[in-house]
Amino acid sequence: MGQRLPLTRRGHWRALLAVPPLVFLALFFVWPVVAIVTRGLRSGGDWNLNAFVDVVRDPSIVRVMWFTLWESLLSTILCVLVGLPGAALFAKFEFRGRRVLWALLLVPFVLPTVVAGLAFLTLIGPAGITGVELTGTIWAILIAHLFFNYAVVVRTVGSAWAGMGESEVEAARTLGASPLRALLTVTLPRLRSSVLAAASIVFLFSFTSFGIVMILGGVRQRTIEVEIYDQTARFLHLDVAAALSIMQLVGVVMILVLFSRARRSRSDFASDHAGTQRSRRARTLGERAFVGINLLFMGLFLGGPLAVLIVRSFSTSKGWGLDAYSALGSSRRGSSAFVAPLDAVGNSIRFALATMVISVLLGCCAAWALARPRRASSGRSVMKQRFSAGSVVDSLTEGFLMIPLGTSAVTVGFGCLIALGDPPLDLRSSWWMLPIAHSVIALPFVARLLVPAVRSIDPELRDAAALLGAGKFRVWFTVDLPMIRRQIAVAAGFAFAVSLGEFGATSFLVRARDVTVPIAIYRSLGRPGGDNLSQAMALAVILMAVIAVVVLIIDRLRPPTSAEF
Amino acid sequence: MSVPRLDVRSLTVRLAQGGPPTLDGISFAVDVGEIVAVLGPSGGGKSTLLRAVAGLENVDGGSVHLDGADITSMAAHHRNLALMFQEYALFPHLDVAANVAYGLRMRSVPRRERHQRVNELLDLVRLRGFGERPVSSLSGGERQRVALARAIATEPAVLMLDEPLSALDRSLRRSILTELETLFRQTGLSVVHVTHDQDDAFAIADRVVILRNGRIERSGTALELWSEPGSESVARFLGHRCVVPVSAIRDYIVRGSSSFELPDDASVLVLDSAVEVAAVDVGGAGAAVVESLRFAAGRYELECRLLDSGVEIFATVSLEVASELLPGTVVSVRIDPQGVRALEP
Repeated sequence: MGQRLPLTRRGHWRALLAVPPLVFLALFFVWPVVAIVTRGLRSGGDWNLNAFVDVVRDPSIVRVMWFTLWESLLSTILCVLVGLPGAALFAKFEFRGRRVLWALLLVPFVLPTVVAGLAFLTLIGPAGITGVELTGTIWAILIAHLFFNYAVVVRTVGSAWAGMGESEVEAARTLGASPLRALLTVTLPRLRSSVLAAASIVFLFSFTSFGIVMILGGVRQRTIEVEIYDQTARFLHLDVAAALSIMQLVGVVMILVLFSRARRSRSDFASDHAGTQRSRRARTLGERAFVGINLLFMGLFLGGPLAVLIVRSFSTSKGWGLDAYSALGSSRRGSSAFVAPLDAVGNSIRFALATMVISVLLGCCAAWALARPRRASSGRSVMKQRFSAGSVVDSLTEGFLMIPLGTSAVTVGFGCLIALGDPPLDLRSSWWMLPIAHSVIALPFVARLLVPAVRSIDPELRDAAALLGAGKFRVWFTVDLPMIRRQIAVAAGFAFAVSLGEFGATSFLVRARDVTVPIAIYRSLGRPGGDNLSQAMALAVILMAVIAVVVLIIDRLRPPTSAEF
Repeated sequence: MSVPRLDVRSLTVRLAQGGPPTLDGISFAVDVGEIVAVLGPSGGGKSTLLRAVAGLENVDGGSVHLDGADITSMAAHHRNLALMFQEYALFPHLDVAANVAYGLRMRSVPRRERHQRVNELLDLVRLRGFGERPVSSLSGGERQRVALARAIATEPAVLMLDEPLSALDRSLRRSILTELETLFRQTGLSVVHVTHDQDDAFAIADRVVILRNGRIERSGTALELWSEPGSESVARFLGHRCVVPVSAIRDYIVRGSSSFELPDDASVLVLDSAVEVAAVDVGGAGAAVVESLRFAAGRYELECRLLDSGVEIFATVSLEVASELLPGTVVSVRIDPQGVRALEP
């Protein structure tokens, strides 16, 4: 005899919640990818690899692929080397403004690529204030990638380092290791997994970098992404673009597999006590110099380009003024194809709001669908775990949600362009095309924030609520929802910021009349004249200001214990 | 005979599919106003028992009755049972008052009445004025009292406590135990509390149920269980150290008292109080050598090896006697048969 009780924690209805996000990704991610693959590997109704092989063997394409690969590799190595001292700074030392700086580090990371590209253009471009022209060289790209990804290394490794506890290092010191040897033999090996995690993110971002290379790479330095765009938008060679997209997808999948292998091959060396390292003020001369140099580097390297951009946006032909900003309200060319720049701000905000709503709703569905409670906390957990087919489905769903994280915006844009142009799914001419594409890009970020948040709710709280008389829905409404409303707000902010700065997919999909700010900036750059450049800068400053506000709000709301990226 | 408040009948729960049952045909009852302690080692199924009674765990067999009504298939939120979780499970997003009021809110008690009831409860657990504090600011003992107030706010038919003292400092335990008992007796609650600590179990319980490996091994009052553990495993679990074969102590039994009829290979429990140690070397029969002497809570615990049989037995001795009983001393040991209990294997 086996009575089955209606339990708060059973409920197959939860599985239904996974349907909306899965359908969404199937339609707007999988289907476009399938369209790309078909386009690249079929010709005249047959599967035919010849065209694909021809593209892949073309010397100019091979050069592009090699460049993409070693450019990402160099970027990653550079980021890790430069980022580690920054991580050490936050892990070990206390200094004035530490918390604010930790938050501000995120600004470059969420900054739209066009804004950062523009900032570096003002520094190291043809008329840059440093007088050194690096655009069109690999250096410009490496520097910009470092600017973008520095925070990834500092924050990921820094928080792992800070949470590591000091006693193992102290043990090494008492056993005769110098501080340097203790660092090399104890600290760095234990940081291995967080360094690899950061490196994999940096590598992926560099591998799929689009806006930076478009603006700073000139005609010589071209990545796969840029080539896909050019083949599509300039030469209308969709087949070549599709073939390139396939290579890019294969590359990304290989990177993801390699990195997850590397991370899994050795388990994390967790401390046997969960001690958080106490950061302290720098005492010795050497320590002070270390802190000082680090802060100086961050200030100059991260703040410098943005400061220069802001200052330059206020300079006019006649001295200082707001000319660039006041010109934003009108369309200079008078042609209907050119939207007044200020309208672009309105467009961007509307798209960002729609993206925010779509991705947060889908993210919430996914989070609660996947939040099959795991018994954690006490030592009783082992016997409470029930292994079921459900958990396999869960991990598949979870992996599926994360896939767009690895693919590039350009793939999403190009895929939607060729897949969603015909009935029954003719969205290319619809206003909703952009928010949908942005949501595909934002959803993994949102899910990454919400899934662990819902999972971290102690299932005993739900049990306690049920025993106090709350039904399923009331448990959700009075326990689950209030407990993660901050994370929902943070996820919404992220989605908003992602959409606001999105350039890669947008450049494929944007309609003439609702140009977004990043597109307007890029287009201004393409047109001659100092006024266009200063207009672009003014727009970039506005975009930067909005993003900075969003980031500060996010940081205020972010619970101190949550994970970093 | 009146219907018990809570009646659990051959309850079976299988947490690991295909594995051995976590609870294997558990039956026990709790009368109105009775306090029952479920005592057992960690992993013995105690928490599962509470969760199954509360409706939080699938039941694979048997039934649960409340005041005679079968509630086995009733949803957890419809049962009028309260459970105080081991780690309290206070809602971190609500303040103290809102935590206590949660159950009342679920029962749509009007705001004014709720407010009044919450204040009464906070007075009862001596947390007056704590209503607006966030739960994260409370100490362990305060958290526990909030959890208790929250659990009894809705006047549950049965209050269940999962290891109520395990998260507290040793120094707090004794006083909180007394406090809890006073409160239970005052309110006339029917209580089931589970613990792995026999002192806690014996301190507040009308009846103690011993749960091991998913089965109830024995039940009775604290005194009954302590002095008649019945089986060797229960005796050892309760902390009795002196479980020995009859043959090993037969020569040390005080002669002339009641006959001592047991087969030689039977195990017996020798209570500490039955062992009398004297610092005289009688030689031959009745001789033992002191192995160790340990100071514990105002008395000395003496461990000595019987010279005849080589088994170790334990006794408690007063401070004065202890000074003559240094390790290595040969002493005489006499065992009062009144303090020897037969055990099932």
